[in-house]
Amino acid sequence: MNTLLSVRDLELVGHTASGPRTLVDGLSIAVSEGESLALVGESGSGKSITALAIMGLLPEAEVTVGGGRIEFSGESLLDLSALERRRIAGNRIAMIFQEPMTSLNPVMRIGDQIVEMIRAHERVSLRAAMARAAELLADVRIPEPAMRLRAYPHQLSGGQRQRVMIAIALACRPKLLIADEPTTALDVTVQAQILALLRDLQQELAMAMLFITHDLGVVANIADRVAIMYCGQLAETGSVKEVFRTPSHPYTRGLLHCVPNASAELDELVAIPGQLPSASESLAACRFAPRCPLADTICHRTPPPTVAVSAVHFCHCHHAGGVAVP
Amino acid sequence: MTTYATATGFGGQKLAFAGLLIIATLAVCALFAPWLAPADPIAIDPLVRLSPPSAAHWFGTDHFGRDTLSRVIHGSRMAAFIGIGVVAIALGGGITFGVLSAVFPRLGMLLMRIVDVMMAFPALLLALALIVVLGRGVENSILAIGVVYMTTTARIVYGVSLRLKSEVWVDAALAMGARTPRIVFRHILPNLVSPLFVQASFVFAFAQLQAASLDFLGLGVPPETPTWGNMISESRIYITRAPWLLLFPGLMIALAAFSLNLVGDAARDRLDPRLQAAFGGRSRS
Amino acid sequence: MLRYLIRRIGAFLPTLLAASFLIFVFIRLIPGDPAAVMLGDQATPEAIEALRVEMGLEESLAVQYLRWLSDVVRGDLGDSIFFQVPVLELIVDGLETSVLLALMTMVWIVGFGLPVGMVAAARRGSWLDQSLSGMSMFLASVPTFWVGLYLILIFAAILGWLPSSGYPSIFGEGGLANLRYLLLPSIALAAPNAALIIRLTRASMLDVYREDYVRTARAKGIHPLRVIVRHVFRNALLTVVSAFGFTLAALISEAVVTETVFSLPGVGRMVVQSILRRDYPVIQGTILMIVLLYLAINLAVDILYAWLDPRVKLR
Ligand SMILES: Nc1ncnc2c1ncn2[C@@H]1O[C@H](COP(=O)(O)OP(=O)(O)O)[C@@H](O)[C@H]1O
Ligand code: SF4
Ligand SMILES: [Mg+2]
Repeated sequence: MNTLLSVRDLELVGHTASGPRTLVDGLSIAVSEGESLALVGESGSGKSITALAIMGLLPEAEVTVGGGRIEFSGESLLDLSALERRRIAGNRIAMIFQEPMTSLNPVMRIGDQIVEMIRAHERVSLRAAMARAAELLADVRIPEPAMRLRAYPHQLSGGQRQRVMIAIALACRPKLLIADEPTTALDVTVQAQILALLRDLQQELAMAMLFITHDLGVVANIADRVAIMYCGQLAETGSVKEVFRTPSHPYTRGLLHCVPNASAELDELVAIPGQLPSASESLAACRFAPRCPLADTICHRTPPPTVAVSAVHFCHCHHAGGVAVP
Repeated sequence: MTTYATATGFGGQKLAFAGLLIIATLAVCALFAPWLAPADPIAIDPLVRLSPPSAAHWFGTDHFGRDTLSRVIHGSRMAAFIGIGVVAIALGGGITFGVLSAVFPRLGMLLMRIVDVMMAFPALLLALALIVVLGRGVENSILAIGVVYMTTTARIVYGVSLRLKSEVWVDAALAMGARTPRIVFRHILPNLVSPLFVQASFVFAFAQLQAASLDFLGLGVPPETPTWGNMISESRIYITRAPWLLLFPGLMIALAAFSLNLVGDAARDRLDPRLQAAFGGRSRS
Repeated sequence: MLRYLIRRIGAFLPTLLAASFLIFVFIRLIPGDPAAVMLGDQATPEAIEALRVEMGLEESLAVQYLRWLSDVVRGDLGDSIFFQVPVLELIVDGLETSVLLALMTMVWIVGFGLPVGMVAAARRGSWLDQSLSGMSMFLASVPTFWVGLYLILIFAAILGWLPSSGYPSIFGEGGLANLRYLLLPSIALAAPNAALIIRLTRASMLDVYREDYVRTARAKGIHPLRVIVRHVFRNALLTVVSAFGFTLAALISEAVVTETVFSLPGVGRMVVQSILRRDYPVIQGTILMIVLLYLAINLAVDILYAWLDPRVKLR
């Protein structure tokens, strides 16, 4: 399988009144064509800004890229001009967001919002684009699609709005879909429906997906591989099966230990004592050290190495065992 | 998405500080006018009529040969007096009616309808109508303008009190058997202080402009009193011969309103966002 | 939409009625016999007695009000003491000036305030934004009549480009070119109000820019200008339009002063002159007319808002 997206040593810096702060530190992830990768972490661990960096949508005044590379289909995104990036955004990498209630323009009809995406990237007539929009609404299982085109967002339920967001995202048949916690704001039953829809569409369209969540419970349903983040650093990555069966990073172990059915949410975990370091704290080389039962001085001083647990399973920890990857 | 920067405020603090500085200067002028003014503001000198700014008369003299600088300095007295008077009436009445309306819903319905009707009159028009009934004069200017802004103040106080009432009252205080006056004084009034500070600065600023308009129209403070509006009104026919005559009183009005607006804006930006809504689409009239 | 319309009109009529009652009673609050007040100092006892009967001063206030109201509805606002002509005629005469002045001012406010506010928001934090914002804040604090007088000094007295006062009708000699008489007054009147619109536009553009749906639009890869116009501006416009009612009130208040500065034969100046002349029937009639217009335009603004914001129609 060809690598579609590769993020290497990404560093994101936040600019606040109290000075710059590293928000994402040396993050490396890769998504192959047609593959689904779940990016998991507590809220505040840097998932959303990573996604926005890939899309080129960082709020520039507040968060900038400090270093690293982002490659998509072999093109280095960070080296592209704004115009070239716009040709990729929406067209080949599309994104859906956490808040369906506020992510659609309230004064624009649903149809127009879908058509806008199509016509931004393809030269098609308005009528043809509208017809495509209706098909897309049908694809995301919205009843009476032709009529719904004329609806305004406030006339739809939260679940339906998220379906519309998905329809917009899929409008140009992107190679990669980034879904940033697309179900977090929804009711449980609706969550399951949207997850199933995303999974179906991803396989039907042979589209790669970067699925961001803080809910370990959904990972097994939606992803082939998983990357677990802690406070801007990668903790562990590997196939979902291996990581769940043989978690190697103390953080992952802690998580899975108290998620017997893999159904609790990370934010609710109390079994791992402590919390994400606050902005004012100075950070240990391994950011998990303050909460880690295995932490020692080396963890505070030296950034953790990448350790291969198996050919498809890597862990970033001094004391995880396994073979260090140079 | 999380956002951190405040997009609307730009250098608000520094500007507010500048505003406070201007206000303090004007206050000093008002307090110590007789000592600061180089000449008697009403002393006539036919020999130096309409003289341009000079070492003897920094801001020039008017058509009676009166010293403009001294008149401008004395003008700050009336400006402060009118501002304080208007704020006192607007806030005093506004708090009373607003809080009463929030505490007694039936009465509130009626009072707020009356406020609606009063607000159907553009500010200056309402003030003019009141002047027609009251006659012109310092106190009547203050009363008329005060009543105009009493309506907006009452509405803001009503909105904020209702919110406070639903937050504090039902939950905690009522459960503990507190009585109405206690709730008003312990829970509602203290929380009104900062929104009312914002409102007071705006009302003070608007009062300057409205009072100046009344003076200019010949329906405000009696013409012999040196106010900035009267000075402009009297000198307007000399604008081609002595354009500087209007410059300083006009600048004083603008400066006073500007500095108060700066302070009001900065204070509003620091308010609880839910209270900011009460000041919605504010305009000066 | 229809239901919304009905509700808004349903709120408009009682307010108008109540306002008319206020206007009706305020003449009666003036010390002295209302009939004598209405007729002025020169009136003969017979004329006063006749008006007393006509006004029905012996009857209850409610009856008097209803009688007055039915006259008003039929267009009878009484006669001017000073001009000895029906008040309605005077108002109709002044309306052309006042309406054209207001329209021209609105053109400046919208044509200048919105774009400048947009530019300031787009360049937020730059020196351009800072100077525009600072300038508009100052301009919003400047008395209109003062601006007007200096405009007269510069453009009429010194440069001689534009007339300094008066306004001959565009329907008479001179035709549309007479609009130049309204140029300076409308600019003076627009200045402080445009400044408020600049500030409001800038602030609401910046607010909207942080909305999730703007991020969605940017994620589509559409041109940034399109994001600004179709998504940011279109939504920011809602806030600006909803503040138009306030702007209008300011405009009317300041038009009274501006018409006086430029000696324009409008309704606003008529209010002031009638007050100075104690021409009470005219005062009463003009104030009533202005309040009617103000409420009607406010209603129109509400309808415009409902038309711009699809969410209103559901409620
Ligand atoms: N606009 C911003 N300005 C400054 N810091 C930000 C901004 N957005 C996010 N952050 C910081 O970046 C970190 C990661 O945020 P985010 O990516 O939203 O986390 P997640 O999506 O994993 O919950 C947090 O510490 C947050 O405080
Ligand atoms: S590197 Fe050290 S502190 Fe970090 S997870 Fe491994 S053992 Fe814990
Ligand atoms: Mg997030």
